[in-house]
Amino acid sequence: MIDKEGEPTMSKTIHQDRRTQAVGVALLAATAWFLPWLIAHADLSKPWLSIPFLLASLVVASAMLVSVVNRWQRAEPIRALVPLGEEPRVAVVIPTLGEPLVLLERTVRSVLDQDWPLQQLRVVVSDDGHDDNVQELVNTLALEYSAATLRYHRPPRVGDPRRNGDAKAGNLNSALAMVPASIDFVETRDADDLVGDPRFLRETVGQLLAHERIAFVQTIKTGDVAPGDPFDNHQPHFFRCAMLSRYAANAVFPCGSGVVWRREALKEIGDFPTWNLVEDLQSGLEALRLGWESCYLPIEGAHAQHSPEDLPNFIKQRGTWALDTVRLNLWVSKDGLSFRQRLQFYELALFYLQGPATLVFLCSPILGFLFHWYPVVTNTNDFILHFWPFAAMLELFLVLVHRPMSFEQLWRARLVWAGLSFVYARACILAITGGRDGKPRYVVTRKQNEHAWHWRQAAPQIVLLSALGGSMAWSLAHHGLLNSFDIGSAYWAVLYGLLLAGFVRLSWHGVPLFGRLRSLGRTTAGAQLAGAHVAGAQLAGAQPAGAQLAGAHVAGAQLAGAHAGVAPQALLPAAQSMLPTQPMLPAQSLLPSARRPASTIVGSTSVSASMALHEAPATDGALRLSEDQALPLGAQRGISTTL
Amino acid sequence: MSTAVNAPSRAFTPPRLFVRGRSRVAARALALTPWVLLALFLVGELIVCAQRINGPFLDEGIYVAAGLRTLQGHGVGDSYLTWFSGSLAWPAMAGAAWKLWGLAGARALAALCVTIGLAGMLKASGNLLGERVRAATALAALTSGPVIALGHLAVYDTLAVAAAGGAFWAITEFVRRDDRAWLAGAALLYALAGLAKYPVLLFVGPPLVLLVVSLRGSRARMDIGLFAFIAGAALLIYFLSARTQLTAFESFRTQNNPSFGVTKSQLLYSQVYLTAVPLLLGVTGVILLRDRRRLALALLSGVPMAPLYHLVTGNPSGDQKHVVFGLLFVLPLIGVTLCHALRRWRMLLAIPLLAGLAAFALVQVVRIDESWPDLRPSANVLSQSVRPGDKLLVNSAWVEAAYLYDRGRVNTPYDLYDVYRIQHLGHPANVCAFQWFVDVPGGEQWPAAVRSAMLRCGTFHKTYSSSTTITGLGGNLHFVTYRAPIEIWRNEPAKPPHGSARA
Repeated sequence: MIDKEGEPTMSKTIHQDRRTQAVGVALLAATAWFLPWLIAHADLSKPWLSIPFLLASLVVASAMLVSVVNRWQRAEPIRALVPLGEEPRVAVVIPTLGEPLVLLERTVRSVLDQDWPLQQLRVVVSDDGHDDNVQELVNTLALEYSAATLRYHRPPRVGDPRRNGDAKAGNLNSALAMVPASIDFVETRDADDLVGDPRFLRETVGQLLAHERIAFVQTIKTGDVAPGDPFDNHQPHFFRCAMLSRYAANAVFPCGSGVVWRREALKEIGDFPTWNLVEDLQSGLEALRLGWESCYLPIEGAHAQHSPEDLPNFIKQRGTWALDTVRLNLWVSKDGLSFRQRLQFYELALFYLQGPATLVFLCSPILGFLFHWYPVVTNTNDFILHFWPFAAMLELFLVLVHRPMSFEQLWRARLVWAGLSFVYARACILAITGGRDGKPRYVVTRKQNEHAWHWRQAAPQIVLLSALGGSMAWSLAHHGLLNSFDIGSAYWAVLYGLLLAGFVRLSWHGVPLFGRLRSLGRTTAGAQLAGAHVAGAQLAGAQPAGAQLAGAHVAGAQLAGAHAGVAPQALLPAAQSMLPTQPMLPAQSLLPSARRPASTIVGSTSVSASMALHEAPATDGALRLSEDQALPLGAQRGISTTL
Repeated sequence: MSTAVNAPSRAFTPPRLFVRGRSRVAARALALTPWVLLALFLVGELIVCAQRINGPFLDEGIYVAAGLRTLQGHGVGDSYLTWFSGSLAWPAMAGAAWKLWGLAGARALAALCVTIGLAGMLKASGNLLGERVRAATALAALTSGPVIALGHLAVYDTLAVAAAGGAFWAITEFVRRDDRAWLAGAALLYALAGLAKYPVLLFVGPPLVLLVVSLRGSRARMDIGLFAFIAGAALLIYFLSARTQLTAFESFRTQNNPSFGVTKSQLLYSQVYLTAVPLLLGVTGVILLRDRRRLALALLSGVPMAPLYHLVTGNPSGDQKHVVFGLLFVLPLIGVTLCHALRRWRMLLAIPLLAGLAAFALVQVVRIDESWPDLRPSANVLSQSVRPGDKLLVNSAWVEAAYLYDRGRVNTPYDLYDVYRIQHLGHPANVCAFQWFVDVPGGEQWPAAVRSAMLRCGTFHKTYSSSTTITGLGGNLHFVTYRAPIEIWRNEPAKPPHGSARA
C-alpha cells in the first residue's frame, strides 16, 4: 500500500501512497474537465435550479481540491516510551455529569490500573452533577488505591461567576485548579471512556517529554458498538486515515478524551476555551495558532463504554459536532496557522457545507424525472464524457484515500454522511444565522440507547427517499425504460437511494420487526418516549471531539448524496424533569424500549434527563432552547471536596 | 479497500482428495501441464484456421462486413446496433484481422480470444481446486466439442468468452486475495463480455454471482452490490451513448424472433446433445466435491442458462456457441471428475473415458463445422463479375457481402438485399431492377413470389450452379448430411436469352 515509506523527519515518519496521489491528481483533472463544462452548459433560463446546482458543484469541487492536498501524505510519530522509573506526575481529569456510576467506576479503575506508577497519578473526578453517589464512589476508590491521589471535585454551578465557562469546558477549567502547578501533564478523559491501551500514558507522555513543543497528544478512540458498527461510531476514516494526514500537516486537534496536554500549553491558551459548544476543537486550534505542535499517536487511548446507537442520540451528537465545526471555521480567527494547517481546518467546514449541496444534488433528479427540468442543457454523450470520469475518479479516490478501511466500513460511513446531510445543512444555517455570539445550549449525549423505531427522526429521509423512488417510478411508467426515461440519473439516484435507505434502516436499529411496529404506536402516542428519544435533538451537546467526524470526511463524499433531516420535535415536553436520577443497569439498555416495563423506560431516560437538568441557561445572545427543570436534591454550589 | 493477503483463504485450499505428496519435478510438470495443453489447443486451432476447411459462417460474414464498415467510420451510420446482439467491438476486431489475413486471420483472432478465455478459466480452476484439477480441467477443455468448434469461428462470442473467462479468474483472485480491486476488474470484464454480446450477461452473470455468494458468505452482499455498480456504470455508458439505436434494437428483437424452421423438439434435442455429457460429468464433480457443495453448485449453475434461454425464446440462433459459456464454469467440475478417475481407477477407466470424450468431441466439431454451406465458390464467382453500383438479391447475403465489399465490388454491403430487407422495404420490390439474383442454402429461402417475379422479368440468366454439403438435425432428430444447391442468376437485358439459363 505504501509506496514511499520510512522517511523519518525529526519526530515522525511520513508515508505516501503513490496510487492515492495519482488518483487524486486524476480527480483534480477530471474536476477541471467537468466544472468549466458544467458552468458553460448551465440552464440559465431556470436560475432557481441551475445556480444552486452550480454553487453546490463549486463546493464539491473546492472540497475535492482541499482533500487531495490534505491527504497527500500521512505521518506517524516515532515511538518514544517513558522509561520505567522515570515517569513524571500526571493529572487525569475526568469530568462527569450524571454518567452511570458503573461506567464511571470502570473508567477510573482503568486509569489506575494502566502501566503507570500509582504514586505518579493524580486523578480528579470533576462532578458537574454534584452527586453524592459519585463522591462516595471516589471515596471508596481512593481507599482501595491508596498509593494514588484521587480527588472528588464539584465545580461551581453554571452561571456562578466563579465558573469559567459552561458545560464541559467550565468543568475542566474548574478541575484544573485542583491540579498542582508541579504537574506538567494533564490528561482529560470522558467519564465513560476506558483506557484502551495499558501503555497509554507511557506512550503519550513519552512524546511530550521527547518533543518540548508538542502541546498535546491525541490517540484513537474506539468504543463498544453493535456488530458491524452500524452507526460508524469507531470512525476509522477519521482515526485511521484523516488524523494521520492531519498529523503530517501538524494540524491535529484534541478529541476531548484520550488526550494528554502539556500544562504549559494549556496555560498559554488560557485554559480550555469556552466560546464554542465543546472545548476540544478550539483548544487545539488555539494552541496551533500560538505555534505549538500537535501529535497524533495511533494507539487506542480511549474506549467508550457506550456509543450512541439510536437515531435521536446519534443525530444530536453529530449535529453538535457539525455546528461546532462550522461555527469555529466561520467565526474564529486562524491567524498564526500555516497555509497547510488552515487547509486542514477548511476541509472540515467544506465537508459540512456539502450538506446543503447534497440536498440540491438529490432534488435535481426528482425534478428531472417529474418535469424534465435539468440544471444543465446538454446531450447524453456530452454529459457522459464530462461527468462520468469525474464520478468514477471520485469513487476511486474515496476508496483509496480511506485505506485500510474495508468497503463495508466505507459504505456505512457514507450512508451516515448521506443520511446526516440535512443535519449538516441545518448546522450550517444555524452557524451562519447565529452569528459569532450565537452559542447554542448543549445537552450531554445520553449514555443509554433507546431502542425503538424512531421514525420521526428518519421522516425527512423517508420523505426524500419516497420522492426519489416515486418520481423515478412515475417517469418509468410514462417514458419506458429504454425510451426517454432518464436512466443515467436513475443510476445515481438508486445508488444514493440505497444510502438513504441504509440510514432509514438505522432508525429501528436494535428493534425486531414486531417491536418496531409496537414502538411506532408508542412513539406516536406517548410523549414520554418521544421526549426520551429527542432529548438531544436540540442541536446541542456536550460530547467532546467536536469535529472529528468532519475531519474524517473526504470532501465530495456526499456528492449527489441523500439528505437527512432532524425532525422538528426538538423541543421536548418537560416530562424529563419528572424523572429521577438513577443509573441504569446495563442489561436493561439492551432491551427494546417498546418491550420494557414502564419503570425501565423511565430508568433509561433518567441519565439524559438528569444531565439536562444541570445545564446552564444560555448566555446572552445564544440560541436559547426551552428548559424548565428543577435542580436535583442535594445539589451543592461551587464546593470542591478534597479527599 | 481490503488489504491483500498472501496466504490463500480456506476456500482455496485444494480438496484433500486431490492433494498428495509429489516431487518438485512432478509438481513443476503438473503446474506446466495445463498451459502446455492450452498451447496445443491454440496451435491446433490456428492450424484449422489456416486450413480454411469451410467457408465463412453467416455470422462471420456479418461481423466482417460490419467490421470493415466500422473501421471506415460507417459502423454507426449503417445502424448495425439496431439489430446486432452486441456492440461493434468484435466486428471491428474481426474486420481488422480480415484485412490482414482474410478469413484465416479473423478466425485466428477468435482462436486467440477463446484461448484467453480458457486461460482465465484454468487460472480460476487452479485457484479454486488446485493444480491437479487445473491440469484435468485443461484435458476436459481439449475434449469439449463446442469449445473446440468455437475456437475457430470468427464470431463475437469469442470475445465474450475471453472476457467471461477473465471475469471468472478475477473473481477467484478477488476471493483469494481479499482485494476488491480484482472484483472491480471482474465487473469490468463482465461488462466487456456483455458489450461483446448482450445475452452473455444472462449466461455468465448467475454463475459469477453465485460464486461470490458461495465463497464470500456474509460479505457477498456488498461484493455483489459493488460488482453490479461497476458493471452497471460501464454498461450504462455504452447504452446511453448509443441509446437511439439500442432502443430500436429492442423493438427489432421483440418483433423478430425467428425460429429458422427449427422446432422446439429439435431445439431441445440440440441442447441435450450439446450439454448432456458435460452436465453428467459436472454433476459427478459436484458429488465428488462433498465439502464444497455450494461452490460446486455455483459452477454447475452456468450450464442451464443458455439452453433455458433458447428453449424459452424458441430462438435457435447461436445455440451451439452459447453452450460454451456454461462450459466455462462446468469444465472445472469435469476436471474434478477426470482427476478423480485418473487417481482412483487409473487407466482402466480414465483412458477410455478420455478417448470417448475426445471421439464425441470430434463428432461434435465436425457436425458443427459442417452445419453451414461453403459459399466461397459462389462468392468468388460474384467477385469476378459484379461491378460497383450493381444491386444484388441474395437470400442470405452477408457472406457474399463480406467478400464483395472487401474486394471493392459493391459500394456498401447494403447493395445486397436479403429476404428480410426485401420483405421490409415498405413497398413491392422491383426485382427486375436488380442485376443479380442469388439463391444459397443456410438461411431463409426466397419466397416463391420473389423467385417467380425474377423469372417473370425474363432477363435473368443462370450463370452459376453448384451445390454444397451441409450437416444438420433433421425433423426425425437425426443428424443428416445433404447437398444443397447454389444458384447465381445475372440480369442481362441487352443480351438474347440462352436456352438452359432461361426460366
